[in-house]
Amino acid sequence: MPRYEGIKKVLVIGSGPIIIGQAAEFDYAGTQACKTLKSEGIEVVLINSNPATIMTDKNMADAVYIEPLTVETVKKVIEKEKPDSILPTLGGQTGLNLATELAEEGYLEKMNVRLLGTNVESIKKAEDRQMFKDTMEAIGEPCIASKVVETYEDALEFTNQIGYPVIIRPAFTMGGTGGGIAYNEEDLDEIAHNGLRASRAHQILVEKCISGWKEIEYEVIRDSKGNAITVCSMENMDPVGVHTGDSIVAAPAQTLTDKEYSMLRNAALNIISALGIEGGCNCQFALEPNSFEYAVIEVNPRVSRSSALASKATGYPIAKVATKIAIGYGLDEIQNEVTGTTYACFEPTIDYVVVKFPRWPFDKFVKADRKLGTQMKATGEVMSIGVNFEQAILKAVRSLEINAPTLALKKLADCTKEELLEMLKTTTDERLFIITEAFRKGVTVEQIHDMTTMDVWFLDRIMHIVELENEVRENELTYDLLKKVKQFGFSDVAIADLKGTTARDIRNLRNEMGIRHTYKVVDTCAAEFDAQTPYYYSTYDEENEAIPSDKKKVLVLGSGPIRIGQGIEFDYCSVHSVWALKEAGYETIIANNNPETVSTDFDTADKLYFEPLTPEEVENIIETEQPEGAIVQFGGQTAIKLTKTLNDLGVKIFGTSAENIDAAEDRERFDEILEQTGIPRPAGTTVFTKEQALEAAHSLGYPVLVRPSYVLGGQGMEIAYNDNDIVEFMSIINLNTQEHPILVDKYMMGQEVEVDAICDGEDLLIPGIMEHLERAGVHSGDSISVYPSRTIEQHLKDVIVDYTGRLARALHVVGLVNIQFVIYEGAVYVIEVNPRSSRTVPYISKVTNIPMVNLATRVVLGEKLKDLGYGTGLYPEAEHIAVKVPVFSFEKLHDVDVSLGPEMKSTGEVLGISKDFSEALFKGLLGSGIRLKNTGKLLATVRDTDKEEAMWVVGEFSDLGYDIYATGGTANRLNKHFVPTNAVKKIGEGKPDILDLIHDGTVDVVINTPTRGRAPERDGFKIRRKTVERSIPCFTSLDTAKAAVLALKSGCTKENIGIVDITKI
Amino acid sequence: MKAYLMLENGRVFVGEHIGADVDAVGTLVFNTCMTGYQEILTDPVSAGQLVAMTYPLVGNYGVNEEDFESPKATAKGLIVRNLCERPSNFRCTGTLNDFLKAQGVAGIAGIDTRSLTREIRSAGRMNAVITTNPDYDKQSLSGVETQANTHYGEKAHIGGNGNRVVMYDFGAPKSLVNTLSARGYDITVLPSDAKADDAKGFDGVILSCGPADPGKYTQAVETAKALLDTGVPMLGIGLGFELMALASGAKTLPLKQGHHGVNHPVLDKATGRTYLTNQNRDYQVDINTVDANNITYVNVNDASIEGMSFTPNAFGVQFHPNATESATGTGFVFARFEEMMKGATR
Repeated sequence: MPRYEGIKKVLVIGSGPIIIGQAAEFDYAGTQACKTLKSEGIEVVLINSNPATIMTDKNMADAVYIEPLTVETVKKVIEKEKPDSILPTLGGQTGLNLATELAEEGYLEKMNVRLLGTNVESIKKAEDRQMFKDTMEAIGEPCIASKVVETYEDALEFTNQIGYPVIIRPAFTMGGTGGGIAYNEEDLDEIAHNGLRASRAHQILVEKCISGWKEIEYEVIRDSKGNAITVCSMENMDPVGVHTGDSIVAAPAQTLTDKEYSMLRNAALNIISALGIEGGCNCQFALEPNSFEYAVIEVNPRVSRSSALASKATGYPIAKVATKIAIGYGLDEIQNEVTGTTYACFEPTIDYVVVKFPRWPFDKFVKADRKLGTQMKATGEVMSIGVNFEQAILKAVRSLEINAPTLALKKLADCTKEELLEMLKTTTDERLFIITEAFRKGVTVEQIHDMTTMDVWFLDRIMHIVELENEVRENELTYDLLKKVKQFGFSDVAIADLKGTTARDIRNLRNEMGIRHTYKVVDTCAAEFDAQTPYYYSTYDEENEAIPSDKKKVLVLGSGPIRIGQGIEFDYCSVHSVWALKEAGYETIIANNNPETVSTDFDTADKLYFEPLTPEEVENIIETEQPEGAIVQFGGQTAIKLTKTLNDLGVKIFGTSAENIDAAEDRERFDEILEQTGIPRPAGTTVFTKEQALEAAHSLGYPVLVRPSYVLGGQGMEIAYNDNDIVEFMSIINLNTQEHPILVDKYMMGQEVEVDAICDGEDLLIPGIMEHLERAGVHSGDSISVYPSRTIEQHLKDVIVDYTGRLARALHVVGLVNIQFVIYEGAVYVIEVNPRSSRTVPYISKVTNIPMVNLATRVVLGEKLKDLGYGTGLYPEAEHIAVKVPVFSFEKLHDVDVSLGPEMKSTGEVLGISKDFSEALFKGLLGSGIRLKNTGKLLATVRDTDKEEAMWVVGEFSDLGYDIYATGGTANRLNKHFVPTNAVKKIGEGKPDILDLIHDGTVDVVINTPTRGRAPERDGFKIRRKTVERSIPCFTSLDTAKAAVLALKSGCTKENIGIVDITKI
Repeated sequence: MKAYLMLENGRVFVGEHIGADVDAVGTLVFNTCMTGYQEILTDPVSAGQLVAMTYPLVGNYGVNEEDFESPKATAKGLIVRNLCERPSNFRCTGTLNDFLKAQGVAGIAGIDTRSLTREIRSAGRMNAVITTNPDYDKQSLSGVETQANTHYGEKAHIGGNGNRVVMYDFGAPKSLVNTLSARGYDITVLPSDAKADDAKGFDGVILSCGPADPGKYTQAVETAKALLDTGVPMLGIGLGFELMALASGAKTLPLKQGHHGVNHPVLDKATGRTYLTNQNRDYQVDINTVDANNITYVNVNDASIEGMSFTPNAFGVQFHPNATESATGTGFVFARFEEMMKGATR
């Protein structure tokens, strides 16, 4: 059956900023959708508030709106563009919710816009808890005892009927937001209330908790004719009770007999058929481990994180196929591009094992609650491919970049058996490491199984790894033993550690013995058909399928799993670089291990190596491919860290040399350069110990900035106001052993400015100067950033441009460089120089229309800026102003202090674009999800040093009609300044106090500036966490509060803001 | 202990010995199923075969008493990448290795099964041997007759409330019989050499699947011809279908590479719907020897014939139909058969 008639212009809705629970997977899905539609000759209009994505790119769509994802904005786009159809099923929950609202309002019908993909009825049957239950019952698919309620009282009544524990699931949310397991009435009170608030429909499902059952997922896909297939089955190593996003997952399912597998497969197909899904769908089942009893846990009628994983695990491009289905094709008509001869109506079969391992932010948020449950906490994930489970899981562990080259954590090495067993009573992100250590100390598989209910099969594989460790430790490394452990996934580093030698020695030994890596192909069909995909993973076999071509080739290193500080911006850069290299006639090779990204789509580069980004694995690729060179500037810190390896292998680094990259990070060398170039920086020094740090702080004078070098996202960075702070911070930094020194600098509280530039060794092109609204002290990733800058005087801009040039040349930058400055008391100082692409590159490229990564790539290949058509020097400022607003995921991470500081905490960002600054600011804030009312009640409680400044801001809110509340000193001050303020009791001064005010929803916004860093006991911390719980905006920087005031005073509303097509500016 | 998989074309794979202590010569096939090794090893169609599993982890859930497709293992040998010696499943009653030993099936583990699969794909059907003797005479593999004999089955009766059918058993797996029971049929099972007269008085006739080259079942083809002439409602599955095709004057050929898996897409020409089917076969009906109008089901990947009608009352399919009718299942095959039985005059 051919495509539907009359589809000429489709509006695709993106998923917005990266947050925990809805991340890069939708950039991948959305990008596939746009590409597919365009390949069909359909015009694509895109709306997505996230500027860091590849999909919001001029070459992806014909019209691109980086605008807040609200119903009002989507309507404006529809009115202007007049699409004939809308495709929301690749924009996560956000896309789906928007489309559902528009459809139910009757708007889509009125505007003659056809809803493509799964229809609203089907979406509701899957998402509305009650309809879901009814639909499942109607088709005979068992669900768990549950009831949909809309009040706490009903929740309590039902729970008393079925008994504790119960799981609360809010309807129409993603990533399990607002849900949790309640073991008693106190739990129920908290979780049920949170859940009702978090749900768009004020609806929660109360369900019998079946923790311990096996959790099995199927990714299914169906077309409009009714043909349906399962793409991939997955088994969570962590049984029911831990969110699938936080579980270690194996694909395919490993412990099911054919009967069990078929039973669940049929159930999945039944479900997708009964729901009438047209496109992709994810079905999650719980299977009782000692019988055939099962229950349907959840169905997601759209592509999701799991579909990205399933697509990468099997090679079957779910989003692409789902898009084709949405426009009318049948599965039997869509060709399988991998084999070139078969069709999409074909269930992939795999001849390897895939493991997905989540990446959590706890290395950054050391005091956060690490307990895993029904609410997802991971920011990203890695995937690995191996020919047995041990190989896959060990590869996954070393892909995570958590300083663990194998299943061992230094801090656990000295724990006793009893201590380890005690730790296991709580499920945390470190569980697998604890289990492995427990096995090393003599705990049995049965004991762990009893404690965790993890399937014995998985535990046996881990035990096997421990047994192999012992074998290596106690025996000579013969050919057979070495080959065996390599095939079971042991890295050279791991083997070297066990033998007390070096990884290089092991590699040399292997070479002598002829134990070398080989690559196999991911082909959707286990070699049944000849494959066309250049998608590889490593093993230790005889036959190697990765045959290098004779073309000139370049290796681009990807950026690994998504984490705070290194998100999809780097994937944007890697992918754009690959495109530029292709244009320049090179064969492109990508190495990466993140299943959620566009870079690991086998369509992107000419060859994809899905491998851990470690020195060993990169060396393997170099050996096999012998590229002309490698590019490391676009893969964030992950790629930069590999520069030394590449250098040692004699691989040419295209762009800024390894030496110069080093120079920027090494304090001494950097200081020399600053001396040479005559550029000032805040005074500071390098230290290694706590004592040295204290000495440095005393000589510089407090406050000082303390941070490790060679990090991303300001990891470990803190402002120390006194000796206690220094002591505390140094001990935290030293937890994750540092190979590099720690920097202690004078903290200058001035205006922060950021510049990205492209340098070709001689000339410089600066697309623009960005200024941060928050003063220095707040990480640039967490600041509201404005381009072009508005408040910087011309002479200072000239200085900044001048300094940028001097630094870029002194460092011999070839390619991109990002420099951060602070303007303090009328002078410009350099804070940091990063000779690589930065987070800001994607959005600056889009707003200025300068294809920065493309130009940078051409420059690293040897071209000169003056020949590239964009001139040199500071580029003329764009007409449109872009305001980038960070987005946080604090409601997912408990016990994390939400206050902004020098260490980055945001997970994503949105952009507001307008010719008018306040409109751009308003849009950015709106897009970020801050719910700001035009008037209401504001609570202010600020530290002493901020009290004077706070007067103005709070006064403005008051002028807008806000009722002001404040504690003690702040209240007095305000009243003296003629701002009528209600005094509120501090915590401990009696009830009702400031926490009660927030808890019972009295206030609509809070301004609270923290007095110090990380200690959770302090009142400020409690206040701030409470605002997160109650979803109330909390400004921890007066600058952000000022920005909010500006936005409120702008007169902008959701309804009256304009929209901008960035392809036309 | 080392073991060797030696292919007819000279290639040798070295691995670990598993299973019974015998040399096993057979036709080499690969199977892409990711679960179901016990069923495959005991499927009568696997007779005479050395089965290589493409999925690398085999034996994870051990073996059990219920998932036998026939009382004993039928495959000659098993080839895997990794054999699991510590299985886990609530129905598990033993390890796969012990099962292989007890059933006299030889095996080899630890080889690059992907490389082997690619070899089979390019070289086509060939014989091979699993042996622990490194000096085994590879030349002797050519021309060895590995095909199972064509006599199978015993008379049996399985009660049911529905249609009274008779099944000629050429090597039906237990799951097929279970499927027929699930449809409610009262089933009389006949051995493969039963005559056409034995089908008198029944509502319908089923010719089951079975191993080996349909061309060798000369007697059965005669029986099929006679049955077709009687006009009794007939359904042929797998080999049974091939026999009906031969009986109607068509020819059969080997498939370039067999269909061994659960994901073979079959197009129903009448409705345009595609279904994924479970297949375990090495032969096909030669498309050049039939009237294209009679072809009802076609394989989407290689365009081979997956089903045909022979008369208004007789048809057949290459795949195993599902017991129940569902949106994506192939239970409609039985529904059609039941329609025929309802409408037929006896």
